[in-house]
Amino acid sequence: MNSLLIARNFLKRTLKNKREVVALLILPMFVVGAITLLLGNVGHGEIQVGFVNLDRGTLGEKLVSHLSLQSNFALMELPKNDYLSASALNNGKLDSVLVIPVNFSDAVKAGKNVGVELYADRNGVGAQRVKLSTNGYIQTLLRVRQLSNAQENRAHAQKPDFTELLSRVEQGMLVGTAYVTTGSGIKPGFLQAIGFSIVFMMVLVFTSMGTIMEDKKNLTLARMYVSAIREWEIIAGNLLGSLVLAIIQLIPLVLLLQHVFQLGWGEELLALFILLVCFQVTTIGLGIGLSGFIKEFNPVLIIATVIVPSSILGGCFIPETMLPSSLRTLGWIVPQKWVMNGIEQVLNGAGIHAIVVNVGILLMFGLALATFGLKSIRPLKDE
Amino acid sequence: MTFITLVLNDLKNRNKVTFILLFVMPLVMIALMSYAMRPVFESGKHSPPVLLLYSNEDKGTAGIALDQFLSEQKTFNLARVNAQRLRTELAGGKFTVAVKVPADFSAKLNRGKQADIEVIQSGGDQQQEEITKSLIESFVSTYNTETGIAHALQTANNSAGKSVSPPQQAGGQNFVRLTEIGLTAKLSSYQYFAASMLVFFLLTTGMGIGVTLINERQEIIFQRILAFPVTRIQYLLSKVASNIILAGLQAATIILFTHFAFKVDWGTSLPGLILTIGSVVAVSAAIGIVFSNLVNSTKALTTALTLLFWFMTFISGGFTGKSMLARAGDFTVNKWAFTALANVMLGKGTGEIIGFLIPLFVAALVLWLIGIITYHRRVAYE
Repeated sequence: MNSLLIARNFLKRTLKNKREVVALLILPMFVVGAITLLLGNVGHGEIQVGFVNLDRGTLGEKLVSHLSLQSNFALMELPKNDYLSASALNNGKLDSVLVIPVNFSDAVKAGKNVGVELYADRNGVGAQRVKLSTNGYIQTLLRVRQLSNAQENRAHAQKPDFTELLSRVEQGMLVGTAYVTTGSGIKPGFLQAIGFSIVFMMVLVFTSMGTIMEDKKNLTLARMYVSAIREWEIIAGNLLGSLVLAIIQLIPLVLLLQHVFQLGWGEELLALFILLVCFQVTTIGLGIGLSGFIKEFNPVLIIATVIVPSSILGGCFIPETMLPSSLRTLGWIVPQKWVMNGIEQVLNGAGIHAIVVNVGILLMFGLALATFGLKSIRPLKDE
Repeated sequence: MTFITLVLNDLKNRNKVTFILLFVMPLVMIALMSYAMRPVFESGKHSPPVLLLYSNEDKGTAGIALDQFLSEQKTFNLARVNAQRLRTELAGGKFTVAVKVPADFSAKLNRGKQADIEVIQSGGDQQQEEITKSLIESFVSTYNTETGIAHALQTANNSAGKSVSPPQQAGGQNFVRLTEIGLTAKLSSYQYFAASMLVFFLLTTGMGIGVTLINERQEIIFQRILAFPVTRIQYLLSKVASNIILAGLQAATIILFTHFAFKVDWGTSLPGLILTIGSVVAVSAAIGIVFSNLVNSTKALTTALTLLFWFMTFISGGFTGKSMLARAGDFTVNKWAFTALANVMLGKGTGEIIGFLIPLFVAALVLWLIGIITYHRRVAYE
């Protein structure tokens, strides 16, 4: 009962006026919502390819036409002079720029010095696809050249017209054609949105945990300790208050994630919600644990010392496959990794039972950290 | 004299541990992030293999050709499973992408029909998924070419499947010369994160100013100070000045430490560095003043500013090594300041980076005007 009163007061104090409600509830929802909506479009966009066709022959045009037929490729012709500075590559508007040289057709027909230039940003995901598609078509052109030469030698006749032969091959390619289709368990951008949301949840929970530090500083905690309330009731009250606040922030976020990434209403959404609530319990436990030995609440330092390093290890910023193997293994010591792993499993079809271990470990993290907080909070020792 | 006393007092009344962490944490963050993200910056040198789940139930020529093609690729770390276990294994989270070839793949192609190879993405790593898709498309392109040639030759008795020769290895015969351009292609991971974290921590200067102003307003220190011969603007500027001094020291620590410890090349333009740092601090200080006048508690202020600075750093790529949302990133302080710093690192002079700093100057000017007006209104109200 005492815990419920403490929790109610915690909420009343945290959301004491309209400005606090805006700053602590509406603004976070707006920012996280905006980033979720923006990330929801990542990966759905086309690969923007700028091109400059300097070829005097016709094969450059054929190459451009081939690329324009590729799924997800959007081609844009760039001015022939000063195309690199004119291109929007540096501003992030194009993924890559393809330059077809003057002698491209002649080089293909001669089978010598065939090549094109591709300029791309290092981090551009689409550049490899553009490169391999272009390379594949050039290989096709060279195979047609081989065929043309072979026919000429075999028939001792006039060399067949290259363009006509190429058209025949291209028509033939439409019969018995292999295609690549893509299926996806998790939509592009979803894990980034989750990673981002997790980081924000931590920031928000830690900010609300600043109340305990305020209470220590203002000796409110010391007064509570001398009243007829047990230590665990104080901690449980703060935990409950923070949890209610965190769930208020979480519900619209989960609904938005469902809408943007079109998650199912059943197991997927339930698992996502359970994992995120458990993560909030863990974060609150961590917050209570930190309040035990932090004298002054400084969100920037908490971000720098706790949130960012653990989020990197947990795979919230970049996919864990990109991390060095030592950090990948080390990642299992932070709760973020268990959330990300659980969500990945459920959305790839593993079923809700797959997250039992993850949920158990997250709750154990929370319990251990809150217990540590309970033991370390000494209301007068630091004053 | 009063102004200097106020500045010195503000610097002296700081928690020692917080003060030390203020200088140590940016360095730890830079070291950790640069090390963690090094593979992203050194793609080609240290890029990890793609963990690929592979199920091929096709015993025909096309299936065998794909088997041979994939086994020759150094890009993949291949794990063969049957079709039933494919989804379960992918859901386990160990693999990032799966390729599934149905049993009737070759048969369909030989009958002149369309047949599909399915690339199933886990959503865990977009880069690895794209690499896999591209290589499978490359195989398919070569296969289709051979089919086209077979038809062109009108070898009716020679079915498309029989004419297939496995595609050449990726990199075996390459006709596309890929050149990495763009600003970040020229920076090391240490340079990138030294610059991005410098901007992030400079931005938090504003939070320090805002928190001090609110705390002193709440604890009635502000009203007591105004009882002394101190003008409102003197008081405000003293808070700004002490935080600017700290920001300057923090920036100098980051620059010198990363230069000697991580060999980060900060270029040769000291005026360029000072101008960039100064403009970020000016914007940040103004943001801190504006927000301190809008909210009543440090909790609300720190939440709002943390969200704002985090959001800007995230979308401009400060935490991730690449801009998440290129166009949205253009509207952040981080993007312009980072671009200016990166150009200085690459040897550009003040004249060449001034274009990147103009948006920051304009933002600082506008925010300072708003800050001073709202501050006067708030002070009058108090």
